[in-house]
Amino acid sequence: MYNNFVEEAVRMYRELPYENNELYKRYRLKFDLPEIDNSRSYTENVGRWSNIAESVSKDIRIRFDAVIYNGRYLHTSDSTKTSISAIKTSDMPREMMEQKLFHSSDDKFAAYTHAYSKLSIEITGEGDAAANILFITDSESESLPIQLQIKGRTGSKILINEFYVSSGNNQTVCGAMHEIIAHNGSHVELTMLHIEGGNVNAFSLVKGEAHGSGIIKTNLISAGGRMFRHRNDLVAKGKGSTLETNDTIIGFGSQSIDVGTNTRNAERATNSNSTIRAIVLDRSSAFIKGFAKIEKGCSGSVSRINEHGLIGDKDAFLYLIPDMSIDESDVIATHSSASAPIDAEKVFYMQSRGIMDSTAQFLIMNGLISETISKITDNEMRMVSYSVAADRVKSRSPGASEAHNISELWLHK
Amino acid sequence: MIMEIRDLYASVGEREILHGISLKVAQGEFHVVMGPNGSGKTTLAKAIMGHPGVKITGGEILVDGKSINDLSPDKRAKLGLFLQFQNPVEINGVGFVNFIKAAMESVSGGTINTKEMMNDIKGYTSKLKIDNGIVGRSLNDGFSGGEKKKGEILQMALLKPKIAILDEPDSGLDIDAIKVVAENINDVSKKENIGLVMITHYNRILSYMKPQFVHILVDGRLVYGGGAEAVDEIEKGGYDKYINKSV
Repeated sequence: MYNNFVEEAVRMYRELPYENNELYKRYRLKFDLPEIDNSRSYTENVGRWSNIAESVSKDIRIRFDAVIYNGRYLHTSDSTKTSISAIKTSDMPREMMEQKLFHSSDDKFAAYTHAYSKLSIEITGEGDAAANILFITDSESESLPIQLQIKGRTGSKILINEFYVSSGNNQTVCGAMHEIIAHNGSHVELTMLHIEGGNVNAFSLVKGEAHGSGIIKTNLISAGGRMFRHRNDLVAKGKGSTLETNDTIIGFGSQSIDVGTNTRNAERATNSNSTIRAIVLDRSSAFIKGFAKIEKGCSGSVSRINEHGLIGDKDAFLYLIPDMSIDESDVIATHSSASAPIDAEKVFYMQSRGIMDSTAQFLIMNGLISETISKITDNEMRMVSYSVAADRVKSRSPGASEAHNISELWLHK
Repeated sequence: MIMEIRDLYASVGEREILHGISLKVAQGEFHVVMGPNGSGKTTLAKAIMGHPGVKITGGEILVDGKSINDLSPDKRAKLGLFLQFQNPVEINGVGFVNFIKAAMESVSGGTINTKEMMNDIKGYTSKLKIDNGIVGRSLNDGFSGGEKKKGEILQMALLKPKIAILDEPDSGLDIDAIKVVAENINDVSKKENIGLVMITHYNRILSYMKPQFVHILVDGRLVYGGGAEAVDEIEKGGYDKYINKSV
């Protein structure tokens, strides 16, 4: 059974196309996924990952409940309150494999993950304590994509904070796929902080279903990597269920970013709310899509998309695309999108109060992205995210404060 | 501190707006600039503060005898100039407190004690009759018209400039708010010995303030410079007398 599943996933991965429209070609929004030999065996360098984890933990003052190294090794802390366990993909039940094949059917990266990952991490939890998970990728030939199953049991609350760090060359790929189920009355909040080194490629996927009055909330902070691709694909399936996505995008250098969020209201009185704040600097390009669908019969539902971006440099590029498909009349559906260079009037206003031009620009950009970061529930994660975002924005503003310098966190070779 | 404007010509885009303005203001003095719509009052205020969209094509702006024509707006602010905006921009995500602390530290060149600053803010918001809650919000974001105007006076009180250009602090305010704003401008300017250049259309705010000098600006030229008696003449006869003079 398992071999059949893997063969099918490999076939899907090979046959599915990269998105290949003109904008994707023009802005290089594609990276090649390396071929992986499923018959190969791997050894672990425990000393290497524990040193990196210790260093990152010290830099950002966060204690990690779990560390996942190169997509193949899970270490959990004894003190974690959240249940984090690994299942070998070869031991997965048939039902789970079929669900994964379904998730692979329309996304090359999902199929790639299911074809080549060796571990599936299962996370369940109780109470308000957040689980902090560090993902380390440090090798182009040793790393594998990772799968995560997040299950919000009825009435439970799970906060998961993920930190992605990596080093390597442009053949290195850091990839993770999340499958979330929020059962009736549960609240699952997933925050993903991507701070990969500047040479690597990274992708992440979130597929989620909210049942009953369940809530799925995802927060993304994209601030790393040579190329970053992310997809949210969320469905509100139960009456009263809620989907919320808050994406913070910071592009710099020659980075390419491709972020897409799909939400679907599939039952009456469901809610979806997508907020995106983006800044592109230097020569970076970002292609950001928000697509919301309200299905027929889902009366009393609400769906919102709000995208706002700043273009910080003349060679930077930002493409914001909001799109809605509304098949029911008794609903509230709104979308808005705005991208522009930094407003000279705002800069002048701040300068007239004695604030330098570069600092004024920094404050304006930081203010924009704080609108999404402020929605992160976990206080510790919110503060780290503010610091990382400020550090990235500030790094091109020589006049700004150095108070948030955590550049050691970047694992350049 | 003395600010002197000498034969100033300035353009916005291709259009020349100011045609040879001369004006001298010392710290502690109170000047009023009046004029009809489109006469160049706001352009003059922006030129003094160094707005990038206002190009000085002739003449000079001097502070204590040194030209500031080439100084950026932040450097002008550090010299002691302040501009109260007619329509302050809203800046989402930038908290009022963080902003004003950064501005105060920049202008003073030192570190500001946050507790003392917050006490000062509380005192001034009480005097200005605005909800102290505005300090917890983003800068001017969602402020009412009155809150924006009063917020500008609050900033002036905290930054303690040497010369402040006030661009229509009364526009859009009801009669009670005009009185509150006028009284606070009077109090702060006297306490800190601030020189004022106040731009206004109407004499209502001047019933609560006593300017020493009144200037009438018409079509980019100062056509009158004298005492406060001109204010009553404008109230009775409008600007016609001065418009005819400028032709």
